[in-house]
Amino acid sequence: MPKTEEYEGAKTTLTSTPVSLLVTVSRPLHPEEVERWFSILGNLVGESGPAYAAFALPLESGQAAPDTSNVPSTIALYTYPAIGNPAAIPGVATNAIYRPLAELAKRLEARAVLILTPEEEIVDPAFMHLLSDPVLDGGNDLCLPIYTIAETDGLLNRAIFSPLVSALYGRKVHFPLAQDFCISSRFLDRLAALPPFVQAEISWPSVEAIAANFLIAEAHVPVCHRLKGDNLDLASILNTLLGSLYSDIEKKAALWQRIRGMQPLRLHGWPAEPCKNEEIEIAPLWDAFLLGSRNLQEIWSMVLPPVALLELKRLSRVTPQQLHLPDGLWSRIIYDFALAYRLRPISRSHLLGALVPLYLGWVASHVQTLSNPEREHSQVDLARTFEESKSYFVSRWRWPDRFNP
Amino acid sequence: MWEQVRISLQQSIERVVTKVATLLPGIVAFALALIMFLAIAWGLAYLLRRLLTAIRLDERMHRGTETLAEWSPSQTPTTIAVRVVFWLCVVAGVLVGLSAFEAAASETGVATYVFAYMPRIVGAVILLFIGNFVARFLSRSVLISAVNMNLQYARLLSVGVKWLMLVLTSAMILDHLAIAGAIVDLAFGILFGGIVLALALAVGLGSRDLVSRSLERESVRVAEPQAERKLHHF
Repeated sequence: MPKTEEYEGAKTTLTSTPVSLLVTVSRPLHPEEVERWFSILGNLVGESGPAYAAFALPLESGQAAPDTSNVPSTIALYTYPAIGNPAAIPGVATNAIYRPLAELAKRLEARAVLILTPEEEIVDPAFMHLLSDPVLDGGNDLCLPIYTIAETDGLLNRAIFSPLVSALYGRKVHFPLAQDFCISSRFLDRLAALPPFVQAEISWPSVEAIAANFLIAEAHVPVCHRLKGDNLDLASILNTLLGSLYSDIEKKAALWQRIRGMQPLRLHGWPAEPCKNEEIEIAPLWDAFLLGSRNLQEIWSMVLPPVALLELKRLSRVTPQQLHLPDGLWSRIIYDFALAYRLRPISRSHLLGALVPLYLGWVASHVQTLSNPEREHSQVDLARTFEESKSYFVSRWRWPDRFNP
Repeated sequence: MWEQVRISLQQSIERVVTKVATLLPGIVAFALALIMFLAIAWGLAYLLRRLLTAIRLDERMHRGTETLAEWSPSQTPTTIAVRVVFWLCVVAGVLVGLSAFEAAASETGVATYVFAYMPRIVGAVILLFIGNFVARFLSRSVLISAVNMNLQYARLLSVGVKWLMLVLTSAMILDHLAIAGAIVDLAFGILFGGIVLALALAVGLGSRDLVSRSLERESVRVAEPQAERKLHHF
């Protein structure tokens, strides 16, 4: 078990003082980030009192403790070893963060833990309260954010994560891959008890909460959430994130096959004005799809049924202006890839690499739809379409050889 | 003189007949051993086919890795397994027959030479499987990576990598079997060296304008973020 170490410079008078909320970040901070976070926490404690929150800072092995000469004396600061490898994708945590946090939270008798991503540019006490109050006062076990994003942002989440998780697990989750979220102490204990072999995997707290029947809420946060994928290869991102989700789907097959319908979660706060859409060129995305269509037919034919291949072939002949990837086709493609991830007709890294051109084709279609005022396209519709296609997925999952349209 | 010719011919024929008579028991032993093992092979193949069909091996294997299905898409795993067992029995029969021939015909060294060569053959078969698998895996990796990098010649690259791997594997197998060792080494060296030299000449001399234009396009593309890098995926 990892040992939670107390920072040597912490004020000893505060070590045994219980706090309501333990605030931490999902990865060790860079030296230039430390001061900003101390300032944020200072504001939080200044507004709510020292008994409200403590700050837990993960430290990598061999990393020097930060300079706390400017840390206000009212802040209780703890450190714990950052166990396991970070997910190597900004803002994404692995299951390894929960065990040391659970130890620390138990010692401090914290009722909730707020995990934030250091990449988030706009973090202030109001943001923290929006996420923590539904857990501390609302009786929920998990509070996820609903970011105020533009329709051209959060594309992976919009295209795959949100509709897939919502349809399979029967809860309308806007951002299932949580980067900022608050969990109750009892849910934290459950996450800390996950087996050792899943510690290095990406954390999907929304899925774990649904599987364990914990109460989940979502809070509107007026943050124009925009994490750039700079220097990140899209194939690597899909391989890591979607691979972990597909792997989780395989493990929880007995659960999602029984679930019917899609229920909304408890919502807190009010939606803010969405951020402005960015200009995105469709042509390079569509070219990437066409290149994939020309070269990857052999691989796609191992994964997709003939009907889907035919539709993709038809799509490859239209002009970018006529381009529209139907939601039904897209949902079945994602389900077919999930099934192929389980059956392994080709290696998993190749499988998810072959999905990249299809995803870029969806993005091109999505952007084209946004620019067309006559068409209405919403994420709710896509989640509904995934839910309607779920019976197709269940049939293929149960009888992969017999049911192949 | 004609008497001497007649005597020489008679002696030659006697030697041939004696040799045949000496070898005949060995040949008969070889044939008997081969026929016996053919019968065993046929029986084993029949039983194995019944067993594998009963446990539905083909259906199970279709859910497994792609290697077998890809390597031999027209034949089912059951057929492949049955044929492997059959021909292994036949090969065993040939080896036993050779030993019997050696013992019966008092011809030493034949079976020893064949038995000593068997490990090389086994090694060559293993090299063939591994080389084929690696070639297909690498070609698929290159194809997918090149497509995701928006390289128009992705398929050409993929085929090139596959054939390079297969040529390398063939050279390794021939070297392992000690077949025309020096010629294979030389041919392989010339082939690969020629490819590298051709590429160097193309870059340095023949296609410098094309390459410089291509490099210019790439450097401009690198300076601007690629279309998908501008996207906010999450």
